Amino acid sequence: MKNLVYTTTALCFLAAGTATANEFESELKTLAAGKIAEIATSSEVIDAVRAQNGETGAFNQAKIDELDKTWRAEAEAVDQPMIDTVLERPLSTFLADVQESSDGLFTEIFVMDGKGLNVGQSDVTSDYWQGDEAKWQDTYSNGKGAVHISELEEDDSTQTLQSQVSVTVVDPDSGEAIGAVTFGVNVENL
Amino acid sequence: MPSRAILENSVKVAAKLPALVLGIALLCSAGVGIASYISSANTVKGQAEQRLMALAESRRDSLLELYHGKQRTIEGHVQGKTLRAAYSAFDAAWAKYKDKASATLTKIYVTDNPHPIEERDQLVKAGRKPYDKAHAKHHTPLRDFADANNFPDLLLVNMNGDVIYSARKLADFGVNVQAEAWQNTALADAYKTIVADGNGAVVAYDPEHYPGRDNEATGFLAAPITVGSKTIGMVVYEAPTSEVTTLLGKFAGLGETGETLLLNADGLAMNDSLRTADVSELLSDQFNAPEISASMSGGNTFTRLPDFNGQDVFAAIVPVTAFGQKYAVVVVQAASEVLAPLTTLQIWIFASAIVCALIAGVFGLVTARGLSARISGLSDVMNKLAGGDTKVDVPAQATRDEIAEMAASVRVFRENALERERLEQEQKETSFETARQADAVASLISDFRSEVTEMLDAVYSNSEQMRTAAEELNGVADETAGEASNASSASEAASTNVQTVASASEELSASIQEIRRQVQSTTDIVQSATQAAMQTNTKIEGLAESAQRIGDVVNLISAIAEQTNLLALNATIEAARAGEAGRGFAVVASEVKELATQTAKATEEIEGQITEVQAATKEAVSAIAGITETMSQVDEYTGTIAAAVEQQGAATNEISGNVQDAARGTQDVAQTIITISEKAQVTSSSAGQVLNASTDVNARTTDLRETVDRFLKAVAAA
Repeated sequence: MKNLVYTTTALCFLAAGTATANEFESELKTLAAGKIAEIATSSEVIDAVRAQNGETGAFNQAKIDELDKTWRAEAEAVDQPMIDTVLERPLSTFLADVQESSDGLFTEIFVMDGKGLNVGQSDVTSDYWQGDEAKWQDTYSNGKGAVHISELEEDDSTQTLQSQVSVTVVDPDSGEAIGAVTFGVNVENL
Repeated sequence: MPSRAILENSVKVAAKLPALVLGIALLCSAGVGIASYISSANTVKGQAEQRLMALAESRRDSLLELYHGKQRTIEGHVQGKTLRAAYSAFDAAWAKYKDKASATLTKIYVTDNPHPIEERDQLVKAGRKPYDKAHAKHHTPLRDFADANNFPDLLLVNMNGDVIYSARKLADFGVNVQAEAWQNTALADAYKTIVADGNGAVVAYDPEHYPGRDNEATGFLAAPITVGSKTIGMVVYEAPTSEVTTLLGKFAGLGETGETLLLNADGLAMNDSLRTADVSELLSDQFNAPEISASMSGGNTFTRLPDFNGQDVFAAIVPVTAFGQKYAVVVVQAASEVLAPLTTLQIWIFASAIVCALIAGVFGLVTARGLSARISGLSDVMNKLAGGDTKVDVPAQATRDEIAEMAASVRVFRENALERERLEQEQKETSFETARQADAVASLISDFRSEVTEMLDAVYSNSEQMRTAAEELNGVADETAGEASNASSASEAASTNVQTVASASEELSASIQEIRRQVQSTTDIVQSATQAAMQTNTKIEGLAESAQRIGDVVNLISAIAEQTNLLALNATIEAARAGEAGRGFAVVASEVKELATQTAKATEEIEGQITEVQAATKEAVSAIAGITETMSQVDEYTGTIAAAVEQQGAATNEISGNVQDAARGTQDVAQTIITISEKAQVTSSSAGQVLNASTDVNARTTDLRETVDRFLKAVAAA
């Protein structure tokens, strides 16, 4: 079932991608090198990622999957203790403020640690673990300066066209990648 | 003074005329005014009808456009993915809260909403819970859609009847429309119609008191949200009543009192009047009228409603059908305002009538004053004239009208009176003249008498002379007769002699000697006959002279008669001049004239007879000349016969014939002599008649004298 969904989504992206894929790439790269990089290198982000890496660095895949499963269940439920914990962190508040002050440019911001698990986020994401997705793999794995720009995605319900821009979060002391941050960008507000 | 009595009892011309002019002016002004008013009233009403009907139809069209627009908007919205996605999201999220959904979400979005009640829709994201996520994602587009389309609110109702979403988060958010408190609401009915009965169309609800809006009048439009043929929920739009109110609240062309209302089949107002900002007429039944209900099932109506919400109005009613329901657009305007131009017109008409009447009255008064002054002036003059005062002056007239003609007539009356006085004076003078004339006539008569007497004396003496001449003529005639008788005897003797010659000629053959002797004898006899004829001729010439003298006398008598006639004519003329006094004189003059005429006739006759005598005398002369000639011829013939007898005996027969001729000649002579004798007798008798006539003239002259005397005496006596 899940495979089927992915396949369908991929097909849709392919179909949509031919029309819209690279039209905003240069602008999004500029944004990634500018405001997004600024946030990615902020102490709030770096400190939080460092701290969570200390906790989750020992998690194995089973633990990760269990946490992700819990997250997914909570995301669709009224009671959300785990989500509440994450979203009540200072980093989440910080990111929510950033999003709110972006005048609609950023639709979501979430920061991931060295395992691809959420550290802080402006809004609830559907997953807790992003390690299986390109936004994390193509940035964290590629180290400092890596940028990942997703295909343009149209949200039928909100009628917005957005793209996810992800960059690597680097430890300024060591210069090594410690996590990643993804920004949902409403390209119409660029 | 009967005319004055009438005048005293009646109104004077000076008052009558202005009153008449004033009355006519008022009548005309009133007539024109009333006609203008009626015409204008019809025009004003017609224009009002056109204007109000046009407005009503225009508003109806705008309303229909609005409704159709809303319907299309709703249909488009319902069919779009946005609404369905939003509904699905809200429906799924709502379900996750189970039986706590209403309480929890009402608390979050209504009770704990940080915004004031009218800004509750500003709350987009209230948390991270499923409903919050759905709300954060879908609220903005739904709210913006409602705003953009003037829907005051937009509700989503799930299959259970829960109001799972409300854009404005008012009292009806989170309730279940099947609950008792909401049973009679449009929402409950829409839920039943659309969800339970499966109606697929847009359902409209007129405004009614709705608990979800503090019982304010609220209307709704509801439509199903479907996937394919399956209804998954219901969307309810609060009807844009204010939009209708705004649309109908335009008063351009409606003056100060005009009003546009939309009434539903129950006669309830579907809009609020913007004329009264502080009162809501929405759902008011105060505008209902039977004409409006009738128009909904009938057609466009224009009428006057004397008691429309307590007002007298003109109303244009146009039916509208929207969402399957009947309405009527009613455009009204106060009759007083519609007819306001007529009020102004009334004032104008009244004012102009008064002004016209005043002008006419003043004009009439001035004219009448002038006329009556002139008439009364004339009347005074006439009264004075009637009283015999002919010295009065008739006032001069500046204009040439009937009064001027009357003045001229009065002037004629005055002149006639003056003429009568003059004639009476003249008559007095004439009687003196008549007396003077009578004296003149008397002297004329005496003159005439002496003249006539003188003339008559002359006539008498003339007629005496004439009588004497006639007697003489008579004697001459008698002598002529005697001579003629002698001539006759002589000619008879000649004839006998010729006879003898004839017998002798027969004996000629026997003896030429005898014949010669006989011829000689004959010659002698003929010569003596010739001599006798000569004598006769001389006597007859004497007779002719006598006749000539008679003719002269007769001419004198004729002249006298003519003179007498002229005198008689003069006398007749004078008698005629004398008139009645000369009548007797005229008779006498006539008789004198008659006598003169008769005298003239008698003298004419005498003249004729004298002429005849003269003619007879001339004939006798010529006859005698003939005899004389014949005698000489006979003498010649006898000579010739003698020679012939001597030479040729054969000529005896010719001689005999000639003798026969001679015998016939002598017979002619004898006959002529007889004629002379007869003429002489005629002359004699004519002379006798002249004598008689002159005698008669004498007698008549005597009579005339007596008659003239009598006449003159009578004239003198008259």
